[in-house]
Amino acid sequence: MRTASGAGDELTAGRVSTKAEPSGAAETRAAGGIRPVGRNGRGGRTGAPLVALIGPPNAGKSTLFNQLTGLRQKVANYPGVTVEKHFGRARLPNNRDVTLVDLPGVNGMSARTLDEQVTRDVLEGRIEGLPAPDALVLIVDSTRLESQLMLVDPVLALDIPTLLVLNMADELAQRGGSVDTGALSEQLGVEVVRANARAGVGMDEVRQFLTRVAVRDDGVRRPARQERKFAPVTQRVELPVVDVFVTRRGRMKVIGQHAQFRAPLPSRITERLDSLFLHKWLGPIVFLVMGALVFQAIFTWAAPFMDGIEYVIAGSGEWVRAQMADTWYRSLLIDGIWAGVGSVLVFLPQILILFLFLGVLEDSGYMARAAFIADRLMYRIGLQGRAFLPLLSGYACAIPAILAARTIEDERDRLATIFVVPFMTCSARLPVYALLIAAFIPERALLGPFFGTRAATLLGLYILGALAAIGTAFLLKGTLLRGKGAPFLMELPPYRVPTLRSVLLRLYDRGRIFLRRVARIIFAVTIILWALTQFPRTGGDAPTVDDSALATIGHVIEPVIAPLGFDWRIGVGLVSSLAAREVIIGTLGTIYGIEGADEGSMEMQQTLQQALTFGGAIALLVFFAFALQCTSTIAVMRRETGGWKWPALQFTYMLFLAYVGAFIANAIL
Amino acid sequence: MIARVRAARQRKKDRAALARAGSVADLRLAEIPLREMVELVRIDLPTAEMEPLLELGLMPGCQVCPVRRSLFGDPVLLVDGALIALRREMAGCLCVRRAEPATS
Repeated sequence: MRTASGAGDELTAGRVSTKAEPSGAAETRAAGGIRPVGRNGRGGRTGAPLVALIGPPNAGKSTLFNQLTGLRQKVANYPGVTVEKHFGRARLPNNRDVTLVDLPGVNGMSARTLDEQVTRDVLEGRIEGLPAPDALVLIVDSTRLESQLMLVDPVLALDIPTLLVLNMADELAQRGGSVDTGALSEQLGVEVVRANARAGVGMDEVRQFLTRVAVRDDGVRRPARQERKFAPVTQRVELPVVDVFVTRRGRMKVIGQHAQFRAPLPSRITERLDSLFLHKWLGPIVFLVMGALVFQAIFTWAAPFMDGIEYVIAGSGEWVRAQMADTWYRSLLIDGIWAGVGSVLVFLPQILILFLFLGVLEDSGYMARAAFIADRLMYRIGLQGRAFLPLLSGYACAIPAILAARTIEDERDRLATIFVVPFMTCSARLPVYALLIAAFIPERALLGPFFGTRAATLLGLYILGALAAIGTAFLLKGTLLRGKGAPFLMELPPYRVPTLRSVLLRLYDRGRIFLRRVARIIFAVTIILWALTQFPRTGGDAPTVDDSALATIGHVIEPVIAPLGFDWRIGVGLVSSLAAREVIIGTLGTIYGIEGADEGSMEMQQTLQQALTFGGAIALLVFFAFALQCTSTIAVMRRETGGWKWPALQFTYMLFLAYVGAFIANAIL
Repeated sequence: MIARVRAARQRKKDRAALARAGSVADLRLAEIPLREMVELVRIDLPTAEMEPLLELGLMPGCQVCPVRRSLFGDPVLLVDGALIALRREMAGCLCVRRAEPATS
């Protein structure tokens, strides 16, 4: 699927994520692991020139990037969404090309946040295997020209050929603002282009600039020397930070005046919408309704698609089974790989619907408001408003949620959010919940016909997860991540109508990441599990399950889990679910010899009723609510926290909670 | 309940501390009614916490206008044409000056 930019086998577009590191960590690694464009050190001086896109959050970097490269990548109207660095190749008119790197949005270069650190490291060529860029494209929101130009100073100080793109020029004109690009260009000593990246306006000029970079034409003007004589107000100067900024701002004001910058009127639409969305009383109500809507959509809209996928997978599996002779590899293919991969594919509709909603909410500008409204509540429990988006995403899948936590500036808050995310009831827990509830909770009406005992149990499990999250956040802020709450500060972007293209690109992007990250693990685990049921062989025949290597493992751990009300079979299921939660269903199916086992299977339910007591079943539910059974999450955590410390602590802590919780449930029920 | 009482007590303490920190004449952004444009004169925060504010254009000399307040008193400010949301605690650290001396 890498042929997005259409250049065959040679990798022209890749996604490389930066290793996160706690900004306070002593051992500074140069945001390692960057393997840019190409397998054999391409992207070096010998390859296509490297051009970096830089700009404040929400100025339209990613939109411009998409316009130039056609590469799928995440774009959103939510400050700080570029959570991974994206590379792409821009095709230019004269058949040359340049490599573009899309950097996270930054307001400054003080490297206070992870994003700023990454940006600075890339610009200064301090990342291993990635040369310093040959040119920069600095993109700013022209409706806020003067304050956005604050970034010009530190960028021009790098002395790299730069193109300044004044984005959202249409909005500037529409709202009665104006700017003289020629004069601005003279003032700053760099080329200036007016653009509207969403509509593709101004792209030709940007391509021309890139072309000149590609042919290494000297026509690319360097930042003028005389300009910098009276300029770079860098922070190395022994001035109080405030003065640096005030001086810089003052200078930008002068430059703005020379360029005849007339600030636009405030956006009417934004004002109107905010009078509802940020209304004292209605705002929080709308917020709750939006949250409920997203939830409802994940569970009801996704259901028919999930049933459809399940039907197709099961049907096609049976069809293939009928076509093949009864050999060992038929069993591996159908019962192992087919069923295993199918069990993941089933979650795709939920993930896509969640991201459809999040995408629209982010692109429209509402998400920043939601974070603001949620901040007070989050602050109470020791988190902050920006944690709202990751936590909401966590109800679909912890992996994108943990990545989304990168927008949180404060390292303590970011770690606390990452730590809490896995307690959110992700969709991988759902099939397990559904199976056990269907098997053990008799349906009785509680509140009218729509809310019965089963729905109440499910809701209870969601609440259980949320309570554990709140408790954990409290605990962390009082112990490991003690400290004064970081200031919450968030720019609320103007409302914009999300473009279909951007939302679809995001769905494609997120769907791909989800499938790739998760499927790989499930694939491996199902094969291993299957293999364990096939050995030790006696006389060439596969053993019965009770004699297999899998049973041996189960018997070893049985004493540990017996107090929870689980036998060795459930134990094996638990071990397999450490890779991914939903795997337990397939595993139990394998152990009990039930074909086509899924959460809706009656045979499966009856078998479980035999295998577990009521207390044991509730204990299993509680165990799943708390335990961190997801290798993908652990892997992402390791990357995002820069080491094994946090994932190890997280795993132990959650396992402990799960064990104690399950023990209590089994003991009292 | 206890938490609420404690929070109220804390708020009282915070206010007292703020009063002690600045002179009595200091006007805080938190006290400015909605839609009144004022000039920011000082930020009572340690440098590290001040930087994000500065980067968003909230710096001494700039014009600030609170445009909205949430249920809990957290303001949304209009600065340089951008909307910036922050907590009321921080708004209490921003010293401002009215454009013209208030005429009674």
